[in-house]
Formats: sequence, structure tokens, C-alpha cells
Amino acid sequence: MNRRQAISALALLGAGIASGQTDPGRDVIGTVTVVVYYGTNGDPAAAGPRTKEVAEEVTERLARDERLKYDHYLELGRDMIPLYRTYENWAKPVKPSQEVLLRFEAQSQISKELMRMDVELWIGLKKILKTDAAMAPDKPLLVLGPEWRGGRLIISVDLEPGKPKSTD
Amino acid sequence: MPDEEMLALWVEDELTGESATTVNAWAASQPEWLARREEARQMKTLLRTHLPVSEDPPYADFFNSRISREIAREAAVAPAAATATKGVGAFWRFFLPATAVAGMALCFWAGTRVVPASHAAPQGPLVNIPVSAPLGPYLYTPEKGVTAAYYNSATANAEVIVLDGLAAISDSFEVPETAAVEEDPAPSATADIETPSR
Repeated sequence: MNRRQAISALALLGAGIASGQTDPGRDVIGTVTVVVYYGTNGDPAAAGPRTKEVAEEVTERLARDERLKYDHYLELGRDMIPLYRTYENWAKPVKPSQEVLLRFEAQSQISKELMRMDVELWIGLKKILKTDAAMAPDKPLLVLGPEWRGGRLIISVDLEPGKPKSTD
Repeated sequence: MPDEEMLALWVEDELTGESATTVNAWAASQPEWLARREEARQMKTLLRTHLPVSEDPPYADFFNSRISREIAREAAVAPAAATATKGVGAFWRFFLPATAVAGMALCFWAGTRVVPASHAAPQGPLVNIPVSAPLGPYLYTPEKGVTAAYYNSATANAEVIVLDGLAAISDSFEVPETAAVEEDPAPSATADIETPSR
């Protein structure tokens, strides 16, 4: 390779890196938090020892709705994932298990704080639900999901629009 | 991986024999492709239930002769109608162009009265379009027997989707130790994201 070819190759490499860094599709336009709750009217110990207590406000919120009302709630796992402008992303709330997965993608901005997202719920590596929910801050999408050990899983999807504070 | 043609045939359930077995074995670990085939099957079922297999023409008997008769009948009526309009023809020949000109003038005047939307709305950085409550979301459940119902829960301040007919998760499933650990949502390239595979 002569000098001219080497310079051309370096220029192309530089241009490639520059375009990769400025890909607007990778702009983070929100943060999606996915939490898997376990609701049961039976013995909450059935969920095993690796669970977390649920915040009181969440318990109150869930219990206010008749369909989501259970005597006990536990948190089985959570994942917090950036929402890209154009790319899809996956949340794995009970990682490293792939038992519950969520694929999501921004679809349209209805208003400043209201965003329509494509959301797919995968249980046991099967696509169970696809929806295009309109997501608003502090108004989660709650999916009353499959039964497990005498209770049911409630999958909560929450969107916080805008850049995550940690990356500002 | 099978080529595109094979996959297209497989999605449409058109493959048979050894090629079907090969693609089936490959697709068993490809939930996306299984979902596509399921979609295609559901679409076929939907079409079969809504469309008849074949439909007879409305007047099948003597179809051509009926058409010929209709043509002949219309041909006979046309000269009579032309004769009938001849009486008032002289008047309309003068009046019609005048009416057309008057209509065009009226349209032009009406056009000058209409103010464009961009002039009518107040100029500003943001036009305040009222955002009505969006309609309920589209719900799609590819698994057979699974249904989804949506409602907006005012009491829980949440959107709720209730899934029914879903197979229970096996009791042998254990919550992993790391599941409830919260991670910093550091942006990363989506190319590195693991997509599900069996």
C-alpha cells in the first residue's frame, strides 16, 4: 500500500467513525423501566427467597384496581433500558433468565410527554403480546400475565421520556 | 439457514417432504419465523371465514344474450331521448355556456373569501393542537387461545392489559439471584443486544 492509499484508507476510517458517533438513531429519548411483580392471595413465600419487597405506593396502586388486587405483592426482577430514537431494544427483567422479555421501540410522539411505543411481551421465548401502547410518564402499562406458583405475574412497563439524568 | 424462497414457502405452509422437515427443524429455534407463520395461518383462516370459495355471477343464465338485449334496448331508447331533447335544445344551447361562466365566476369569488389556515391561526412557535386522549392500543396475541383485554384504570392510574388463556409458568422456574438488581441504564449499541433464541 503506497502513501496515497494509506491516507485514503485513514480518511475513510475517520469518516466511518464520525458517522457512527453522530447516528441520530442512537439518541436516547427516554428510559424504560420494566418490573415483574408477583401477586398472590396465597403464601408469598412460594416465590422463593430471591424476591424483593414492593414499595408501599406500588402495592396501593395495584391493589386499587380490582383485576390486579392481591393480598401480597413481591418484586421478582427489574430492568432499566434506554429507549433509542429509531433502534429497538430488549429488556430482560429476570436476568439472566429469558423467561420474561420485552422488546420495545419508539413509534410516534403524540405530544411532548405522550409517546406511542411498540411493545412485545415474550414469555418462555414465545411472543405472547404485541401492542402499541401510548405511554405517559408516571402512568405505567401493567400487563396481568401468566400464573406462577399460585399467583400471577404483573409486568409493569414505565417510560420516562427525555435523556436519562445520568448521561446529561 | 434456508434461503428466502424456502422460507416464504414454509411460511405459507407450501413445503412438503424433506424440505419441510429441514425448515421445520431450523425454525423450531426461531420464534420470529414461527410467529410469522402463525400470522399467515391466522390470515388464511380469517380470509376463509369471510370470503366464499367461489361466487357465481349474478345472472349466470344466458349472460351474453342478456347483455346483448340490454345493449339493443339502450340503442333503441337513445334516439328517442335525443328527439325529445331537440325541442328545448335551442334554448339550452344558449343558456348552458352562460351558466358555466357564472359558475366559474362564483367559484373564483368564493376562493378569494377563504382564508388559508396558516393565516387564520395565530403565529407562534407552537400551535396548540389539543391532544385528545388516544384511542386504545392495538392488541395482537399470536399464541392460540390467548386473549388480551385493555382498559384504562383510573384507580391505579395505569393502562392495563389482562392476558387470559396463557399457559402458566412452570413452578420449577426459580427467580435468578441477580434479577432484582438495578443497573445503570448506560446506552449501548443495539447490535450487542441479545435477541431471544431457543
